[in-house]
Amino acid sequence: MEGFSLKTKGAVILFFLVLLVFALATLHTSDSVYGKDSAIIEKGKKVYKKYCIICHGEKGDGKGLIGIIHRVEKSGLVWYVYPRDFTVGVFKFRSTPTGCLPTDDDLLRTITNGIPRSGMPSHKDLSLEERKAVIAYIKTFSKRWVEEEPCDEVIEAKMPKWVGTPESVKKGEKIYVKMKCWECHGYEGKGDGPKSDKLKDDWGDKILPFDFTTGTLKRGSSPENIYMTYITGLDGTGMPSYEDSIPNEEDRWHLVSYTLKLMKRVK
Amino acid sequence: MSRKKFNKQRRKLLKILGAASVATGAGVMMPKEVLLARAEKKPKGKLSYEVKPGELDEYYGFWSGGHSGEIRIIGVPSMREIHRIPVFNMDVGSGWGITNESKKLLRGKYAGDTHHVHGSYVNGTYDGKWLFVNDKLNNRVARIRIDYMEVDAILDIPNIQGAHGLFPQRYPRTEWLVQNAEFQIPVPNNESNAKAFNEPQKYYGMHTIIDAERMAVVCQIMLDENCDLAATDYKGKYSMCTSYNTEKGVTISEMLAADHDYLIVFNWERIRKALRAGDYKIVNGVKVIDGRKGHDKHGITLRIPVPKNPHGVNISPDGRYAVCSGKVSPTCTVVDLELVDKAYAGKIKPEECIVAQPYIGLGPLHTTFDGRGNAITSVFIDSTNVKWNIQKAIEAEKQGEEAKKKNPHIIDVLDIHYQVGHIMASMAETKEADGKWLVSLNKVSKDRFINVGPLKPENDQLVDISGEKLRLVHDGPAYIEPHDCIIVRRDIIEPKVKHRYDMFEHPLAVTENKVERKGNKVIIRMTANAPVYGLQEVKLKKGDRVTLILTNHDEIIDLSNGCAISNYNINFVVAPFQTKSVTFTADKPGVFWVYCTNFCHALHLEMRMRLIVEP
Repeated sequence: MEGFSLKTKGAVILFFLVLLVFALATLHTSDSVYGKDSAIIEKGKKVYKKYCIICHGEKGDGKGLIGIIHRVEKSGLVWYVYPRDFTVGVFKFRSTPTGCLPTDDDLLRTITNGIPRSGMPSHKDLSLEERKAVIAYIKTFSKRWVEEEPCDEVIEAKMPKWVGTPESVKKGEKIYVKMKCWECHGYEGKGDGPKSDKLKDDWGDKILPFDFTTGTLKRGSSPENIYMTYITGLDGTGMPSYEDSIPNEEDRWHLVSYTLKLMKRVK
Repeated sequence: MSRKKFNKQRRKLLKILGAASVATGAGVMMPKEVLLARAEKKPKGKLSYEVKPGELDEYYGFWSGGHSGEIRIIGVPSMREIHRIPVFNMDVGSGWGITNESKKLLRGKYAGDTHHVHGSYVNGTYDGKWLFVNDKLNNRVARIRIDYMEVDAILDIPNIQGAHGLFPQRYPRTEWLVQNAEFQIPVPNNESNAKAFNEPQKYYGMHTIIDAERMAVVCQIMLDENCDLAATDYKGKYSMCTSYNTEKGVTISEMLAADHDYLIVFNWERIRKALRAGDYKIVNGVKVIDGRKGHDKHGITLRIPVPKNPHGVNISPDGRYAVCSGKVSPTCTVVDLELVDKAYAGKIKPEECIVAQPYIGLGPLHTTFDGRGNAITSVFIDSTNVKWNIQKAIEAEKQGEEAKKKNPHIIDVLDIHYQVGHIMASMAETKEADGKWLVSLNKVSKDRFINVGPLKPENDQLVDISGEKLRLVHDGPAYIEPHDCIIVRRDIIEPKVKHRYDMFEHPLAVTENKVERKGNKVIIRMTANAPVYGLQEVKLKKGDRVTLILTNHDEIIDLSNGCAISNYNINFVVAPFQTKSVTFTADKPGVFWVYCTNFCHALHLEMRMRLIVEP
């Protein structure tokens, strides 16, 4: 927050205190977020209009101007990738189990860091207040945020030291085969498995599985991010959660090891 | 997905995408047989150079850019300039010479003089892995990765000047390169050897051996003679140089004094032997083996006398003959490489390796081959390309002077426009010479193009050599000044060339946008995805030493992003999945827009972010 005057800083701190009190209050009432704090939502709307509307659209349906004209091509195939449609309340990058709404921290992380390999930039240049406000506004687009109880379970990734070792990679390869990851991602991880050309997302748009041999993961490329994707799944896409099918914690990390191998990040 | 199925799908898709895309996609998979079959339909001697809109060329032409310091990729036969690879020069478009990655290779030198581009070989033909090119100006050799068409190594060569002829090992594969030094200089050429500065008899030429994989000097063979053009044989046994200044002259008169100069052959097995025996001196960090007449302990060199100031040396595609073009002599000298072994063994004299010396014309410079037993020689003073038959020249030589006078070897003489230097036929420096196209790199264009001022373009003329006669079909202007080229079949190169970078090959590839500050050192890690940069503003303080690292995360083919920092004299381009970095001092307070220079998107103009430099 370089450049902020002392006065502004004081105001921000004061604001956070208010926000904290308010957050505690809402937590206890377990009521809808919107309706109660229209000031934050109004603030969020302003941020949304300045930074987000061009892609995510006025209605939050991902049909902003760029959404219509952005074209992505891979392996000689061309298709369209639209920005997130907030109206259905389905999110890919969560710390919650598949089917659940994301936490505010999840949304904050995506907004803060952006999504590499997509048109979503980082918003580190926005204040925390602005980012939180826009989260409040985004939540007004889908009724899920009012109608559903938040899930209690939050998944954490605690990476063991041995991830990426040759033994772990070897074990991970067996899991990769057993879990049929190759059906979509291909044996060499190039995203060219036998089912790769038949995949569609929840909106009926064509999608291709990730090619591990090139580029970076949209969620982030750390081993922890890979783990989170495997366990929480990417809701709305063809990528399911493996929380139940790989119950053993070590096995999950072996699969991460093998993924790192496919990405040429370990030998 | 199987390859076949994938292709089928893609073709279906390409049908929809329009003619240009069809050509791009379909070309990738076009097998060699289909290409050849298509070409064979044309009658001999009547090839068409026309490449219709959306069609692709059959050959990659790799042209040196002379004192522009670059390499150019020319489509043959269309002669369209398709790409430029900056090498020893600064290229403000792509950022070569501006980015930290390129500065690290260039090490402060931004002028160069490229002469000879050659590809890496396996078993006598190109393997599509690397290109190599010399810098005569600053005595360097650069290596270009064909997969990215980008320089990945530049080697400074000590103890030489006039780094001219360069040639890679052709068999079994390119492990060594040879680089000749055309100008003789004191060795070492520094204050420790000042007494030699005014004694040209103590100036030496060098034949430098380079390890292609490591891009390091293996050793140098020091000679009294100079080393001009270079060649290697097809058996991995010998390298060669022509020498025109055996006189050690420092004036034109002195350099032209002798009636005979040399083709000097270097025996690689004996070089290895000298290295093993430790028979070398270390000069400026490299091993220098004495190959001077009378000092050549291991008998590495063999001097075959050829008439007066020869120029090019080229090996016939069957590997049998080395042809030296006479320059001052109107002849070519044909050396039978099968006799060279005997000469090394002392069974015959070096000059007995010569099997023919046919008349060619005034000023023969370089020779190329059609793979059907014929040679085509560039003739500078006459301004011609002369096609001649090697066997007929050898037979006439055997029959004697009377037979030679009739010039039975000459098949055709083609006038070119004007003053030809190098010539090169398709695949002619490989065992797969196919005798279809020839390019005559003419030094002078005079009246062949509309007048563009006193500095005129060169004229690269395309010649159909598929028939008995040479047929001139196309004039192609070229900016200063291609010296030499190779013309390589598309099926060798195209499968090796990538559409995207391997992102993590760059250790600094950015996957998370962030700004890191330590004191006044600031690192901006940023992504680019058309039409946005990963950061929309960055605050700096006057005097900050800033490193900006940018990774392009767009995977769309041909979607490169530019990055220009207004008023900071910085511009570069990142291709899909490429990372580049720049370092600068934020010495001017104010708001500075960073914008995309490389048209990327319908909202390209909106692709910009702010650097706010506070006072």
